[in-house]
Amino acid sequence: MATVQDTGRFGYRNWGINNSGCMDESSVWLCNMLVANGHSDAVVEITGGEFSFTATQVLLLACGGKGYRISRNNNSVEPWQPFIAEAGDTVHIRPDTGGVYYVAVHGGVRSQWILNSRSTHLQAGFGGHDGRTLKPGDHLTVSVLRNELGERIYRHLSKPNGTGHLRLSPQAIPDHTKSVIRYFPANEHLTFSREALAILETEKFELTKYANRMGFRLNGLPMYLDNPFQMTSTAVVPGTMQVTPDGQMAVLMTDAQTTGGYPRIGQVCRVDLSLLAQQLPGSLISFRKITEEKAESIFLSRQQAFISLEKDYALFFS
Amino acid sequence: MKERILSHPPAGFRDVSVAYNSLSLFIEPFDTWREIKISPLAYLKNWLREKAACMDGFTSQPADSKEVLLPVCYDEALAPDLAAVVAEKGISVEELISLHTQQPYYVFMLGFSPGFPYLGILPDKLHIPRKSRPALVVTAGSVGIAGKQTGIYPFDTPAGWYVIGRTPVKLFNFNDSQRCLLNAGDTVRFSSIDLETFKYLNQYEDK
Repeated sequence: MATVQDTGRFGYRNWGINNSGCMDESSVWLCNMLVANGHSDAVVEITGGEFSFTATQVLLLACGGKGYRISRNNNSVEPWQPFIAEAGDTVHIRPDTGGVYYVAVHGGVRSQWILNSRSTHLQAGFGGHDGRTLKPGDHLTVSVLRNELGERIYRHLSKPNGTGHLRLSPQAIPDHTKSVIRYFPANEHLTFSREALAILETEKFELTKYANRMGFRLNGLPMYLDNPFQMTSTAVVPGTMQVTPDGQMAVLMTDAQTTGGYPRIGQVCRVDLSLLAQQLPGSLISFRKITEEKAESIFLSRQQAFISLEKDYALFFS
Repeated sequence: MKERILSHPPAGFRDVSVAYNSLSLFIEPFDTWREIKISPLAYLKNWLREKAACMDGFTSQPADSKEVLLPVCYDEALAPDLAAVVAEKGISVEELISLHTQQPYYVFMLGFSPGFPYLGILPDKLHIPRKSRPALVVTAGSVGIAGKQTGIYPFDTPAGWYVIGRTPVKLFNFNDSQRCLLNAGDTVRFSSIDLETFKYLNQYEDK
């Protein structure tokens, strides 16, 4: 399955319109950076199956994520590197272990701009490319003109062996092997029994096959409330960890509903939500509690590191 | 409160949403940080405290609320949980229909999915806890009940509420300038229709 996504649609929660947007924002930021895009430019997100496309004009591209292999005209291409596809070139993206994968193109995918976003809202069928998943025969619109940095990257790559010394440092590439997910307590955290909170902190949870862009259902030892109560529906966001009365947990993902009424035991910290998004059904996940202040500082330092990487990257071509 | 936030939003503001008894404020913390260079968490807590301090009991009523009559078909073919609910409540299907259609409901908020109205308050006899395990998918138009609330699923989504019927009327259309049929503050009445009428009126057929 492939859809057009940017970093999400915000500002319409009072109509029940949820975020949409990419599952793994770290990978999208990086791919967008590599092709001299803004952080929130629209990309193609692949969440399963094979994806291939033919360039109808020269394109500056970068792919990244987890679990896929890339080739251009049957020659393999490294992930996390910018590359050029000439008009007529065909790029194949084939699953290896599978995961979530991204194709960023310089200038971004110019899909319909609806309610402040180019993201596909699959449920309601709007945004992105006709509000649906991409299918064979679709034409995606991309911009023809290059900005200054895009032009410099293009010239660099056009030199013989231009990609040779263009490797990102390994620390800059997301470590998708991590299966310890950090969270901070959410509103109903303390209404859970001590046993439940101990289970969350020490046990492993298996990701079930019910894992999609809306949410990841996990399977583990049941966690119960001290005194079961019926909650009034209230806001939930991607990363919210809800526990249903059968004691099982679901982590809401980017297509999650805007409100929910199951108790919220925790909130996955934003940096780790990208890692969780890359987990596959059957994998075992553990959760580690941190404070919300800690979650904030992890996020801010990651962002600062990203901004300085972006500056270094631009400087490399100057 | 929502209007006040919208007219003077905090740094990095993204959205504000109102639920029954809560108001949620959304920011992009990195934007906030870039603007003010202090912890967005500390900034927002302080910002909210200041806003709350100057609240003066001012309340606002939505200006142009309307009353909407929605047809609902309570046929078992469209209502996967009808049998479970009448069994649990010890009432007949006829009683359930008459209880559900006998009164107007207030639209407290929209949430969950685009255009989903949270309606209340259900007659006491229909109060039922949410499902312990949500259904993986219900059909668009499904009318559900949970707790003291009733609501309508505008799209094929997972659902934690008991589905007791289905409306043929579409609740959300992004092409329409109104987009949502119902808005917070509106009033809804349900009217029972049979399966034939449902099929005749069904706006979801193109799906």
